[in-house]
Amino acid sequence: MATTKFLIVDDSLTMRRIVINTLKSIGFENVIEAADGKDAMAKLLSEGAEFLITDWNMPEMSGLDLVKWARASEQFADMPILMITTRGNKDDVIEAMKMRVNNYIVKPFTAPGLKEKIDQILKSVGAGAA
Amino acid sequence: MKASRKSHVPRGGRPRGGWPARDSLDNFLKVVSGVIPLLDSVKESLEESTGSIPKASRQLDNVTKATESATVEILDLLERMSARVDTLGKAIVGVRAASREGEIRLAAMDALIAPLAMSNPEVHARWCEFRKSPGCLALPASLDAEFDALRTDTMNIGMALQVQDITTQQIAGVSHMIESIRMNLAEVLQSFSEGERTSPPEQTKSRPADPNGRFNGDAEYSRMPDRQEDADEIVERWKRGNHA
Ligand SMILES: [Mg+2]
Repeated sequence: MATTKFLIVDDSLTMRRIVINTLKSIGFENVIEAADGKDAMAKLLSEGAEFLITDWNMPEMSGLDLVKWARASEQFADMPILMITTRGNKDDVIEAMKMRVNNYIVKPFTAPGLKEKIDQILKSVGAGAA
Repeated sequence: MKASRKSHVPRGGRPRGGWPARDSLDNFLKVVSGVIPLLDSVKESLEESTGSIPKASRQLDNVTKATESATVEILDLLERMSARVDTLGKAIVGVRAASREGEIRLAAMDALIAPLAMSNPEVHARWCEFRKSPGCLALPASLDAEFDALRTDTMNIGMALQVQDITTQQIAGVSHMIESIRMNLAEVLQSFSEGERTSPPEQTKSRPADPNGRFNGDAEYSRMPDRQEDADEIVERWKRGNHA
């Protein structure tokens, strides 16, 4: 069982549950969640996490602003970040990469697709894959 | 008409070519008196349309909420189903282990009974019959494949519910669009009322916030892998340092 602690950020309750269920099915049980960027900032500061999976379009604070904040912080500057979003345009992907997300998934995602991206990221940062 | 007009002609007489300015004014007044009720009815129908837009927005909101609660119910059921599938899976593993254990015991019995069966045809026949009975058979091998398929199907139903997030964003896009239309109509209506023309219309003071960030009105539900493949290609090129 992988122990990596994930923070799932999405304003859609449905999406949060789907991502969490998928993570559990591939062996990641240690998961917390947040409903938008602001909520995620608070959770990161109070509870911490080792891997951030975030949506882009959210009220209060977007996923991109959350990534900007994380990368500018000392604590989360190198945290693995995977963006899962409905935005599939080339410019969107490039904008997210400029903000240093580790990888990018276009909704609707698949379980093998999510596993592949997480394994790639964990491998690239030197942590063990599930 | 001409005669009566002539009788009111001032000393200089009727200008050559008639009374163009007065005719035009008459025509203009006729047109205006026809246009005023038309404008009134335009205003009325604008008011009606503007008034019904909040209702349309509320209905769209209700659609989103209803879809979300239905999705939550389906997810609840799927999670319970997954838990049961897991329990069944564990039971099958247990049965397989017991079956293997049974085979070992039967083999030991075979060894014990063989000498007896050789000398007694009836014992031999009964023992063969017993070995063929269903209680001695292992679970069919296809059961594992069926079971995996059930687990995958349950999972895929859950994954398909991503459509709810996507349609919610599409609906939010439509709501934003009709709210903009309502505001534009409200501005037009405001301009009908001269008294309020000097101050900015109330509605323009509360324009909806820039939707960029809150939702993606262009969200699409597509199971085709091409969008992800395109994104992967961009990510790979970016990582290789080729930002073109
Ligand atoms: Mg969202």
